[in-house]
Amino acid sequence: MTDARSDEALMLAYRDGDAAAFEVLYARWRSRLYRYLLHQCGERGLAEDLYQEIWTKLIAAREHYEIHAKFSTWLFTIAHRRLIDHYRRSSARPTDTALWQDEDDQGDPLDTFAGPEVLEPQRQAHTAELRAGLLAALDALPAPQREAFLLVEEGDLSLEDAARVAGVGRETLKSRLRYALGKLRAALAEFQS
Amino acid sequence: MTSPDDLRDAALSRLYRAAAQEEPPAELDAQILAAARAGLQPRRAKPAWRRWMVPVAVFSTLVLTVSLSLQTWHEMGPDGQLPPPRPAAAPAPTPAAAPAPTSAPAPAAAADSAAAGEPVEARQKTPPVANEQAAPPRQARSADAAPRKSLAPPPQNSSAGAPAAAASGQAAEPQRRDEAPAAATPLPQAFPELSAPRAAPPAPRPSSPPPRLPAADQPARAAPAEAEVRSFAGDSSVVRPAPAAPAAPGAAAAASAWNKEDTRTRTFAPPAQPAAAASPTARETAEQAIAAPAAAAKVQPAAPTKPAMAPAAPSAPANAAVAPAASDHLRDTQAVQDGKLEEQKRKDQAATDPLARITRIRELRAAGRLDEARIELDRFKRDFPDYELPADLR
Repeated sequence: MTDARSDEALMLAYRDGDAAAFEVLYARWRSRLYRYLLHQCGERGLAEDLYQEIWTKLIAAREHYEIHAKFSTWLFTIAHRRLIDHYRRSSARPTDTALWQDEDDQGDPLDTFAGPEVLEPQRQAHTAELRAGLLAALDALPAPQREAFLLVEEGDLSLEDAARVAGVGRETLKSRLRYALGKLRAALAEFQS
Repeated sequence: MTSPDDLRDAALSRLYRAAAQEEPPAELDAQILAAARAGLQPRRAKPAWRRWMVPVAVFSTLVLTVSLSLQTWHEMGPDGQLPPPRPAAAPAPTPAAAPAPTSAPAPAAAADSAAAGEPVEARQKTPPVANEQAAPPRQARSADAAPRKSLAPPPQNSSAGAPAAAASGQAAEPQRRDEAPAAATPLPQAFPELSAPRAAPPAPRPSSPPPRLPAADQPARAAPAEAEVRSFAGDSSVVRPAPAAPAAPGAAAAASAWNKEDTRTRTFAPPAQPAAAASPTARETAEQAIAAPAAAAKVQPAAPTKPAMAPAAPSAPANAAVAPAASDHLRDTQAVQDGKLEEQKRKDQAATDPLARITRIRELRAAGRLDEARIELDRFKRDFPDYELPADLR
């Protein structure tokens, strides 16, 4: 059974006391948010803790919910801030601190990077090794680039919304996304070769 | 809005979606959904007392603060300073503890002890400061101590030394004596705020003067010589033996001499006290004199006399510090004069007794001295015009 209501309408319904609306909303975003957290922090346990905290925070904030943006933008904004807090407190992934540095000043490597025709991912998609290689390449990305990729892929956000969630400008996020895609393609090409 | 499709690699996206199949645990889903449902439950309203708890607490705090501030402000003097602390309530207040302006503490303590029937030595070892500091200024007094004015000094600060030491009771007596010079600081200098009320009111005269005792019946002369009195300058400052009054007819004379010496030595004079308060023996004698009808008739209100605070001590050594030897002669002379005055007053009292005079007239008649009897009768009629003469004298 599908609900044609938008995410925002469901959240408003839950604010007004409709528990079923939240269940629908939760079913829509549970896997996406979880994968975003899992690939960002790299630990399942930590990802689960953050996942629960984010949803709990959303539940607690339901009384004051107003539609100021897309629900996915609000949800991933909460997740992004929670991740930043976690990194600041625990420095769990110290290497990520360097990885969070922006590479915008280094020029756009995608200009010299091979295009999709070189990788031909369609032909490699059926192999599990290729999938594992992609996830490994994703995990090896710098955190800002990985976040940009995940926000676009898991959050299904536009560049503007993804930039708002990440707290950066649109062009910055666009550059990060290009870096991420280029590195992923390069990793897949090496794996394939 | 720019779509990321121009940047998105469709093949890469498909590959990622096929690779990323992680799902949150089912128990985590259950917990979150349960929390979501619990968040919709209406919150229980707080009890009324919990809702009013904070306002009541705040209001009570404000009221208490304002009350204390107002009280402090009212108690504050015109100079902006708080008055000296009040003495603590005594568990057993004694009448002698009331603040007395011009009296010495030792006589009061002796009189209190006399009223309680204590031995003199035991009384004098009792530090009077505890009573002095503790007792409120009450006017209730026993019959013996009725005319007595409280002799205790007002509560003093601990800086005075002696009161603090006296609080420890009898064990602190030697220390208090050692501290006498410090405690003997002139009161106006040490306590300027207390000196004014102390010097202003004179010692009250007893409303009913104590009965005068015949000189021969003065038991005070046989009282122990250890009766010591202290000057007020420090309740423990000067311990002085009772002044010797060998020629004095009684305790009143001794007290008079004592007082005069006190005046000469510029110490505080004890207030007027009944002679019976001097010692238990003197008090018993006075009671006997009051109980005897004939003697009571002879007792006339005499001029207020200085109290006999300590029995005569003919052999008592004089304190060289406060009773110089040169003053002994003056004191003795004064005592003799006081004794003569006592004799004269006693004769006057006999003259004012109508029965005695009638008896005297009858004796004159019986002796054949009719002229003297007639003159005496005329005097009697002049002195007692309303007296109904016996039939033989009419």
